[in-house]
Amino acid sequence: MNAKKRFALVLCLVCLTGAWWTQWGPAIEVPFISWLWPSSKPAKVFVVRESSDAIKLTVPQLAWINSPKLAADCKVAGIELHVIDPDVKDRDGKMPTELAPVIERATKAGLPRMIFVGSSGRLTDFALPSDDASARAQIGIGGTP
Amino acid sequence: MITFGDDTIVQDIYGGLSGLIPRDYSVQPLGSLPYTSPFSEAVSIIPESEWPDRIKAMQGRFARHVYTGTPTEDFQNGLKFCWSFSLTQDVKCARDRAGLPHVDLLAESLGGAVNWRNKGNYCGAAIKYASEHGICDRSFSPKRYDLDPSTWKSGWEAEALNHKPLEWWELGQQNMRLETGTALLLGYSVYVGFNWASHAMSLQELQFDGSKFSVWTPNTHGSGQDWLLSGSRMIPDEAYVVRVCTWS
Repeated sequence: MNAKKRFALVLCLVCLTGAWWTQWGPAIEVPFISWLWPSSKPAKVFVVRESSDAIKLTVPQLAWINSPKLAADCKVAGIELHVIDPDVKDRDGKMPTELAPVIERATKAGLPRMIFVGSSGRLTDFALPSDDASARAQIGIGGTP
Repeated sequence: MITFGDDTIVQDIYGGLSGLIPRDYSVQPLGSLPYTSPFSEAVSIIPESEWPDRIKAMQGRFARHVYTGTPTEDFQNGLKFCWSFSLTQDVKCARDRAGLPHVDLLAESLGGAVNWRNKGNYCGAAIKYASEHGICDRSFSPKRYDLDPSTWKSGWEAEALNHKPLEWWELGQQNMRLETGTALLLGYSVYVGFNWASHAMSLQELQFDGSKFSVWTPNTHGSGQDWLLSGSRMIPDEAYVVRVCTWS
């Protein structure tokens, strides 16, 4: 194998690893290196919080999770925004299948938590943004509060 | 908008609808309903001194602003079903808060709670019934205000299970006024009964005009019939917060 082929092989492996990481790799919330791999906008955003803990949120946090404007801007960007309690159930009294991994991830990380669900179903979790502007930046939508 | 304060003389302006029956707390004490817990045990009360600043911060973000229901779909049209139409508003509000799609729910489908008669009820009985039976999509009863479910499309009972209040708090253990204000400031709507008006409503916003606090409700009497209540008139006799509804 000549140098050209070796280079192409290594390049291929790097690309494949990068693609795998982007799709299925663990989420890492480290802003200063996050530019190293591409991130796409989430398809769905879930804010998971205990209803009774609403009082423990800061006023700016309360304001953004209740903001119809932010929800509308998400919708325009093709993103669903949901604010849920971990006790949510379906009509049969069971945890909805769609929500089970989201709630499990959020609970494990510690509530309140913001969970992104990518179009492939990949989950990423974040601390609850401190205000509307931070939430917009994290979700990847523009606009103002 | 109609305003009610301490100096308002309450007249029977709606022709004696009497949709709300006062809850008898000696028979149904606070905390005795299923799936409930006292609000004040779950949530710390926000002192009134903080209300003005919090109201400012919540401008455009109260339940009123999140709610997608309309006065037309919430109009009780003379039925003594304020307890049902306003609970339906609260369930829709809980759906809106969770980011679920808007569904025009059929408040009449809670009529089984009063044996399908045009009768009043108390809020606690209504919420308990709704948590067991749910509220179906309005499309199952093309004719509005029809209390004969045999004329509705089949399958409505099964569909109703998609729209149930699952868990709620009861307010009033410590201080009904402060608890109501706190719940509104946290972005919840509050399902209330006012015995002085024999009326049940969904409170959706706390306001402050520089001297007094008021609570706002879209009411269920049609467009332009929203109420703003202040003073003793803003303190409900019965109040609940639907905190979780069925995911559907």
